[in-house]
Amino acid sequence: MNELAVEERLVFFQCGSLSLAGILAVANRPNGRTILLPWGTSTAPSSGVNGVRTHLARTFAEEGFHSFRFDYPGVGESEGDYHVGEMSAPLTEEVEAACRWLTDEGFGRIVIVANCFGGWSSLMAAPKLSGLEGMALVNPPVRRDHKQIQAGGAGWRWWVKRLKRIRLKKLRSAEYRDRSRKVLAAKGSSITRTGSHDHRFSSAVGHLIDRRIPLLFIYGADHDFRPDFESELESGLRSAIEREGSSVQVDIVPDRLDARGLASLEAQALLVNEVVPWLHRLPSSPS
Amino acid sequence: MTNTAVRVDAVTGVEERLEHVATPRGLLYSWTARPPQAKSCVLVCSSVFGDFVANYHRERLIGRLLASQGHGVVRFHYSGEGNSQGNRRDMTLATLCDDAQAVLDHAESLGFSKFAVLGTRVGAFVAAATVSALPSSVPLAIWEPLSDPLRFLAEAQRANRMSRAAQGGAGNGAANWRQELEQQGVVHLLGYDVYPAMVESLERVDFLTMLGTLPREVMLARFTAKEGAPDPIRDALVDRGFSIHSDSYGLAESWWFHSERAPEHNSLVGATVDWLSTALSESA
Repeated sequence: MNELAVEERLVFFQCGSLSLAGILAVANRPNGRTILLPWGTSTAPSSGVNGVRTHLARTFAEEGFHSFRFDYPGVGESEGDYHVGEMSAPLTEEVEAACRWLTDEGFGRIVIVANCFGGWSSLMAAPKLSGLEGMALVNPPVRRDHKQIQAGGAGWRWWVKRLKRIRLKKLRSAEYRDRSRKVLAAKGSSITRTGSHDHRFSSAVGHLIDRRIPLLFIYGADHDFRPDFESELESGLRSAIEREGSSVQVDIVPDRLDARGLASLEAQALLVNEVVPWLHRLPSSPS
Repeated sequence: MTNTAVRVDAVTGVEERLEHVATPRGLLYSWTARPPQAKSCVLVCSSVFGDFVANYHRERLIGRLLASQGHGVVRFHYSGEGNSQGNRRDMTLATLCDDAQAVLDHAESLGFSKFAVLGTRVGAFVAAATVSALPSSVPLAIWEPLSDPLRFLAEAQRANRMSRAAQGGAGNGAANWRQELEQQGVVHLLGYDVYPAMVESLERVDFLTMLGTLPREVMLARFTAKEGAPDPIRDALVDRGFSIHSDSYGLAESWWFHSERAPEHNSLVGATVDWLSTALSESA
């Protein structure tokens, strides 16, 4: 790919009281659609770890799709303070703001390609997104984040290590107390084998199916979030996605698709090979 | 095609600019903060590969804090890194230095006339090369400069092995990264593609040679250091008549690694901002 051939527009756009930084990669031969790339939370800039989002944006632009990547609040060149992603606080406003900016600029036919917490945030934002024509979600969490999953499955050694690290200073932090409460609850739920009553994931997917918006789920075979996804399928999601008229594709890839934001070039190539053909198969006009 | 996005803080009047800086290797992504009437400016030279992301948040904080104190700041992504154009295959220490020079020229074109330079690990080499061509009044802040530049890659190899072992795989991935590089023309360290051009360019350099002999004010920050342990770079700079402020900040972290959480910075960010701000105010 000749990345020099892709023109990029640097922008600031408003999200509530904050100004966020974004980059629009302009397709050479536009097909009318724009890809929005909301990613997982981390302090990496909009390029992503090892330039994954830059690489994807330019690849999509070469394929005829404009694409837009941006910094969440407190990250990169955006205003605000950084917070680690919380399942209870998806970044829906940010996804909506990016979609709104795209629509206002004349890029209103949007397909979301999101990773991890960006996928969760996009799903939660979906009911408020107009112009949405597809969503490809890579390893989106279903009801628990990485920490909760780790805590749920961890043995006593892990807990002893954690307990040893507790300091009075840490306990004074509300964020630390919240995090600890969350991992304790995760462990409790794993011991008592009580499932979650959180069905926001399935509801959001159901909403997209009702709107006949094509969906692609990609999970690494060994990824942390896959078991929760499988359990959600068994709890009714499977019958929803197999419903007549739905256009949901689930791909389990024989790779962990690493949790570090798809850092490796191998993972990035795998993602391109999964997503690009799906993008080209999207119906040419919204149903 | 170059373009610029500008926003101005309604309260402080600080102007922030996202811009492309043109180089023969393609367009560089840059962020500049320009407080009203500011003539002073800090050029931030990041590290590369995993360290580029690992330090990004600290550099962001430094940029915003310095701007709030009335100093300009310019940060950028090297060619082949982050949001800039270019191919990592062509990246060498010389191209990193050329990129920094292009961004410094760009900062001058924006009206800045008094500079300080900050560099981290591999970026410390870039910062040293950049100030070496500037008057002795230009202060230099460096985090974790390396006596042996190839240690930067060796640390990644070590982290790579640990990461594989932690994931239950064989812990000997890229055990001999030099051999892999020679055989395949690329080595993947923690997923990052490292090419021979970069490795070869690091083989022949020495921090002190790059910095030159013109004494200047230097802040030398170590993330961790054993108390009383010798620091060859600090000691050599003292011998050469540089004015050194050196400290260790107790940041226990592996090189190249970054997690979802914001990196710990203790007093490192604040101390660097204070030092740069004072040095810029005092420099002629």
